[in-house]
Amino acid sequence: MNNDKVPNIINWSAGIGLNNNQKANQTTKLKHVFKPDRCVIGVRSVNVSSDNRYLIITFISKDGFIRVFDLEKLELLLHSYTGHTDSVRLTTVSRDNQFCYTASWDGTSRKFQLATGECTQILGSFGRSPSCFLDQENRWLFTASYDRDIEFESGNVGRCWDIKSGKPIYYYKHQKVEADKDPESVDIAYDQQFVYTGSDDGVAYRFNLTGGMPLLKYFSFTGSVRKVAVTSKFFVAACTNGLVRVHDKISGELFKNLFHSNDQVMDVRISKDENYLFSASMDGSVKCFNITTGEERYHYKIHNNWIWSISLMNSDTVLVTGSVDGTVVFLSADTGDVLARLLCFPAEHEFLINCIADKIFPDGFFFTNNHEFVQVALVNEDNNTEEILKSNDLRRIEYINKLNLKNLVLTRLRNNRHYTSMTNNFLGNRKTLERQQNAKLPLGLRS
Amino acid sequence: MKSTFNKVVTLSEDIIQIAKNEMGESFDLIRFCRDHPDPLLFYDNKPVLDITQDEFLMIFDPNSNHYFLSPYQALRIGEYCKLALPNMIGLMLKAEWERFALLIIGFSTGTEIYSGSGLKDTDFVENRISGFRPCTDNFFDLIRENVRSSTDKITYGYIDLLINDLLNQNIFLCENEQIGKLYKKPKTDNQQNYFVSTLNETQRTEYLHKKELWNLKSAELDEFLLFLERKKRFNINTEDKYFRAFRKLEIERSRLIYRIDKYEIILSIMLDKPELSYRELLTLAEAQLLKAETKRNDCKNKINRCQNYIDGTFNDNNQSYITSDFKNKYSRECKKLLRKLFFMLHPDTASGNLSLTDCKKHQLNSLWLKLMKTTNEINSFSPTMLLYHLPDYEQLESIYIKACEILDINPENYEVGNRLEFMIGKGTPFNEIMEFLKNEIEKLELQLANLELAQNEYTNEKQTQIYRYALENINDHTKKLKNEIKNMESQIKALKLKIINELKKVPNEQR
Repeated sequence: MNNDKVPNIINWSAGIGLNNNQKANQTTKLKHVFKPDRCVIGVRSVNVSSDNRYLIITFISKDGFIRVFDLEKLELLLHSYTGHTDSVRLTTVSRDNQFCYTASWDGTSRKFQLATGECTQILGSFGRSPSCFLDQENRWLFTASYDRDIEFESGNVGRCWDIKSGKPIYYYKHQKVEADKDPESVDIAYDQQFVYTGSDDGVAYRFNLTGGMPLLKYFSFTGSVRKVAVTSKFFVAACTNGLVRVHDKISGELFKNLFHSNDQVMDVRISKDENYLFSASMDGSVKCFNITTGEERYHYKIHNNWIWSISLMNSDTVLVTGSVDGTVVFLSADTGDVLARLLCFPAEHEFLINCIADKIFPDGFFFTNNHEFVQVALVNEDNNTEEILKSNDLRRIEYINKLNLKNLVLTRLRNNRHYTSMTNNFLGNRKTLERQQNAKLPLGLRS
Repeated sequence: MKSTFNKVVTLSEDIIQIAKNEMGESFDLIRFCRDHPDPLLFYDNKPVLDITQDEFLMIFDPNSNHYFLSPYQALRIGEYCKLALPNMIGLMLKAEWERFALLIIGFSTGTEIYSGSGLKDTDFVENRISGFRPCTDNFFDLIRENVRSSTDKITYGYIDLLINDLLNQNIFLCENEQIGKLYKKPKTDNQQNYFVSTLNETQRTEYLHKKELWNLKSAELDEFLLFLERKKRFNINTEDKYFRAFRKLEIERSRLIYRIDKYEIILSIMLDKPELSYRELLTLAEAQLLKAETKRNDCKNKINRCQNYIDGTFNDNNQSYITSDFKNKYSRECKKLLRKLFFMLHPDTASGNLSLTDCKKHQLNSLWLKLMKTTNEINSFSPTMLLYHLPDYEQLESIYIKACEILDINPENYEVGNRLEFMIGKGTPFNEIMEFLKNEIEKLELQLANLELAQNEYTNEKQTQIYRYALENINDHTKKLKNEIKNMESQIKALKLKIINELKKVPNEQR
């Protein structure tokens, strides 16, 4: 596993406020850091709407924070989506991308209008719920919950809710685990025909929509199933023993066991063409497999802490990961390269998005509407001292303006291919410019 | 460009068809002519066509006697028959195209241009159409002055969009009646509202969202262009301040740099050709000193400019005489002009410029670079003055007028048309409109990213940072410059000594 993509958001990032000629004579330089005294709230789930417009982020905090990030405008929507009294664990978006349902540890599921933030339906109550799934026709909502919280003898239960009436109509039950073991996980999915569940009893089932006895038991092992995913061919489960189990969805036969790492696999996704599988682990790494051959395409440590959730966007070209370290990372699904890292501060309702260093921006670049999130310091290398620049210090303002680049972040995030060709072109132009002494052509302005 | 149809309809065929459709079967076309006893009169009380009946008949002659109508004559016929604007422009384009074809190949090859092997031949059209570039400006002037019946608002942007649309896939060459069908639009004052009312709820939300995003990005582009100009202005002010503070030392430094360059060149020539006299060496060196000369002149210009400082002492109470209203209006006008310039000169947005001659392309390129450059200002201003913070409108306008000259456009007419409105007016299907908006947003995003990436080069930011740093540490920088000057002086001494030694090596009589 390659560790070079681990975030460097707390440490000072290298940044030079002066040009190269001055570097030789000066021993001071400017560096920046992103809000070092901020309160980190772990990200519990990330979910991108099918039109790639909204990124819905939920947090581990008991405040029930939900924040919606507009990926087209690069801004947080103003609404707070309030109502939940405990952590929101997962969201599921409607087909028309107008609203979403939530699953929360407060034992309810709420419907929120994305554009207005209005809560228009509350379903519940049941035990702490880590999972929900909305069917494509938006007729039923499937939730999975730890019902032992409300009923002593119960195991984890899946429910199908009739959205119109707001009542549960079918149930999908798992075995109760040992009395002294805390419920650990349960997940549910639906494919317009059957309901699929995986739970902390180590079993994954296929049910008829109407519930009752399971139609098929995919596997059973001594561990927990964290997440399940279904495609037209496969049923996939992320397991706590470090394996991703890939089964034939119809026959139930084991297709492949893919080993991620010795830590628990927390989430799993499959590309729409069913060629690639992406898994995320408790060790903060992301792995991509070729499903057919089982070969590993890449395996990178992206976060310093657990990755709770992953999601695919932009026609499966970008993988989004959300971690307990409080950041959301956008990766190139093809190469595993980090495109950008989003730091969302739900309490302040602010964000900062950071792109890692490349040839043009050796210090990386970022975008935030609130410059207070960037702390700039003047470092004297001779006596190893740092002076934090004041908000109104011109050097600080200039430094931030130089690297606060909304459109470049947007391009990198939404169209990395364009970003690469544009920056390569710019580099080429700059080389030409440097070769021509005294030439003042503002090259690099053409695409 | 591939045509969307198989059959090319000529102008004469269209005229017959139009007269039949619009004026009835019994309509006598010959009455358009000036020598007809009872001619049909245009608004100006003159016959529709200023040609004789014999000439008129030659319009329908497919042989070498063919009479080619001008776009103006085609317009008069169209306007008399009360054609809609797209049909009228289609007719004018056809007249222009037929004349173009005649000029380019008609006489040189002796082809029967008007017969089957000529204009009606689709292969012929495909091969020759690429060079056909009708001038929007001329069309716009003709239409504005002569068309009264059109219900459309005649703007340069609209005419330009119509022409480009008709040229796209050679639509203008099809039957004029078909053009009418293509541009048939609902009879309503507000096309946008009508379009939105035809959409279902999901489509409406999607459309309104995309449109909002498109407007947002367009406004962002305008803002960014103005921001760059302002930053450029700000950086020039810093440069001026720097040269006002370090004028003497910089003059001395530039003088010494020049001398070092000169002696180094002399020395290198000397080593190559030791037989040359010092006088000859100087003459040869001068020819090579062009670069150093430019550098020195550049410094001189900067120093001259910084001395043109206009102080705002005429103000009472140190208040600016510029009202915020005026400032906003001025900024708005600058934005408009910058956008026009961006669309005219930037290679990404001025796609029409691809078909220009190399000479014109080069001229436009130079203009684009001129627009980008920061050092060609004449005055520097005081902070209370408008131009201290904002771009010089007159300077931008002079670039704009020059660009219009190159592109053969009337500066008063030119405007960037609203393609979305045009597409909606044309009755383009929802999917195509959404695709257009998606592409436009992506394009705007890229243009913005490009500008963002290059902004430091654009505004000379790197150099300005050096100036700024020097101004913040005047004593240190003065010391640094003095040291530099001292070093250069010793360098000059050493170079001089070397030259003298080299001169001594070769006896005078051998020179």
